Amino acid sequence: MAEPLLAVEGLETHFRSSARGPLIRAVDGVDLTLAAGEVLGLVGESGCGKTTTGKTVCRLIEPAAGRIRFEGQDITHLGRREMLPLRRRIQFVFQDPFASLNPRLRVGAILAAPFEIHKIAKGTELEDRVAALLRLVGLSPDAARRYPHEFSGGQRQRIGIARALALEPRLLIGDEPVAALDVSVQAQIINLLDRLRREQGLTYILISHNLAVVNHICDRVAVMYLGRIVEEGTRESIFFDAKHPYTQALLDAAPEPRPGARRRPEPIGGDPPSPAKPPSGCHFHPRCRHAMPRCRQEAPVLRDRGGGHRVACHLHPA
Amino acid sequence: MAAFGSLPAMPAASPRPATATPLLAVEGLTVELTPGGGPVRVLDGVDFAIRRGETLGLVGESGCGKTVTSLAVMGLLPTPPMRVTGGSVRLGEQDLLTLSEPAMEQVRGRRVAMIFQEPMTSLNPVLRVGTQIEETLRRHLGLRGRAAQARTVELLARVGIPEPARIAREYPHRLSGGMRQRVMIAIALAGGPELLIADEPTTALDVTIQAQILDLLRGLQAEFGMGMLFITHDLAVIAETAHRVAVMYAGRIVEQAPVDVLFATPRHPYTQGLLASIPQITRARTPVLSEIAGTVPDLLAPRRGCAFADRCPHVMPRCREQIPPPLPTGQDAFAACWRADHG
Repeated sequence: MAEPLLAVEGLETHFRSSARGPLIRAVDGVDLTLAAGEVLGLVGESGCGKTTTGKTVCRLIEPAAGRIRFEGQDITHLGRREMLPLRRRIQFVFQDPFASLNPRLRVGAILAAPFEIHKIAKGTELEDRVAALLRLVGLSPDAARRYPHEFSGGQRQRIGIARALALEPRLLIGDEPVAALDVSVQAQIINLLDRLRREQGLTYILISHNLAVVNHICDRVAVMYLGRIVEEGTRESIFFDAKHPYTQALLDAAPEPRPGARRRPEPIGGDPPSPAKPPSGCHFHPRCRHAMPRCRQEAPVLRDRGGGHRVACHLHPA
Repeated sequence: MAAFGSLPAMPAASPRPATATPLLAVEGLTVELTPGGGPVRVLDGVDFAIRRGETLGLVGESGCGKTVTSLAVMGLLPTPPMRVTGGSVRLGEQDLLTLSEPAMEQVRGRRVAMIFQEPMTSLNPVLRVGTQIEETLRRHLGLRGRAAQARTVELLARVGIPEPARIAREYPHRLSGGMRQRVMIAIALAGGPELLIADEPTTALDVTIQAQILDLLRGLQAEFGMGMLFITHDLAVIAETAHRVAVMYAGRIVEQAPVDVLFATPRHPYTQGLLASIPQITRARTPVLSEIAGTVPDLLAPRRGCAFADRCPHVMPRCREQIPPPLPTGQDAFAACWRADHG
């Protein structure tokens, strides 16, 4: 099998809320691989570590343990200067299109910056590249002369995506790229992401709490709970053949725009526990309807149940 | 512990009147905002009614006026810059817009209660949770001391808070987002309201917690027969919560219908566009989501005719000249569209 574009093994990211605070394992042993051209959805509730995983993978946050290989190269401990050429090839799109664009720069200058930093284009060639980018994301080249505040939320997110695509990255990591947008605008951005995948062969990780969006654009899905991946597989296997009780609970809880479509089972109780004080054994056991004594003592390992469908649950031994 | 049902009943909503007067009737509600320039209509002739035991879902995108509607009903509009310039808000037989502030204070929390998106901003951070519930009980029902404390624990238990006596002594920041929203709901229930206004009550919550809170609200409504105005941008949440739905766009209600009718046969092009643009969890994926072109209109920009005209795939010359009135599309249903009768 060809070398995957991205291979993450045993990734851990730790924080302390204060110098003497407890160690928080925001990412607690995550394994992931991503083939070129694939779209992976990383889902879970707030605090599950999905955003921290995304940021650690592209080295915006330092890993505490584990290994990150990108295009066959171990990038886990590369220094700032060694990372610079890689920054071209891995890009991050933030959730909030209002906070991530410099309000004092015209859109043209925002989009020109990556070319200038990496000394790729200048002069009229630079202008042409900026105009081409704007067209790629469905904006008029005239947009270059305007400031971010002159655009709506959806248009700003297009600008954020255009900036991320400027240097033709191999991997894009999008952190809730449509969550802050109005319903009628979300579809425009979802379609744009989908088109970039089909037409440009873009590989990306979509971090999202919105299962319907993930179902719509991802090939594979990884479900996180308290720093760990509890289930991973193809879109079909996760959405229509979920094995992990947490994945099943998430799917049961997701509201659907079809009145009276189904009787949902009683929602699971409790809150996601604090990552500062994770439960013993399987992190999900206090909320799990099927918890057995073993689940309190022993953390289940993420194992392949066939066809690349990986589950970390004692109910589903390999 | 005894079941809540065996305890003295909640202070009940007043008995159903013999006439079919709705619980809440909003008619022609118009609100103007006076920014630097001339006044701008942020609500323009909003009409809706809510019956006892009924949930009306008010859905729309940011800036469409749904929160302004709820604030106007509660008499909580920031005035200035906003001001009600027309219409009426009748709760039973009483027009709330004509009430003095002291009279309105007797209505808020007692007859009409409200819960918001972010409970942390509505709870007092320096008061214990129980104290905040007791305050409402004292103010509206005259309950004090032991009686108020006992009632507080009952209310916390009823909204699904484990160890209610202990949680009553906690401060809000010690609770999770879901627990805080349950506390807000307990405070809202304390006065035994006839109408509950819920403004994006689950938007800040995770999906499993959202499911718990929606379940709780449905159960409470069935038990106490409250009317509910449920405001959200999320059509999927509306589908599972509302009996009837009103769709707002640019300060107007553009369509209103029973929930199953609205989702099965939307008549306004904006509703049709919204429903077609949301992805669903289905085995076969829709290749491309349908998009509503353009963006939500700027209320400050002057316009004539239908506010949706610039984004509408079916726009006709007439739409740019005359604002369409609500036209009946079926039983208890209307759409403000010149093509409403074209199906």
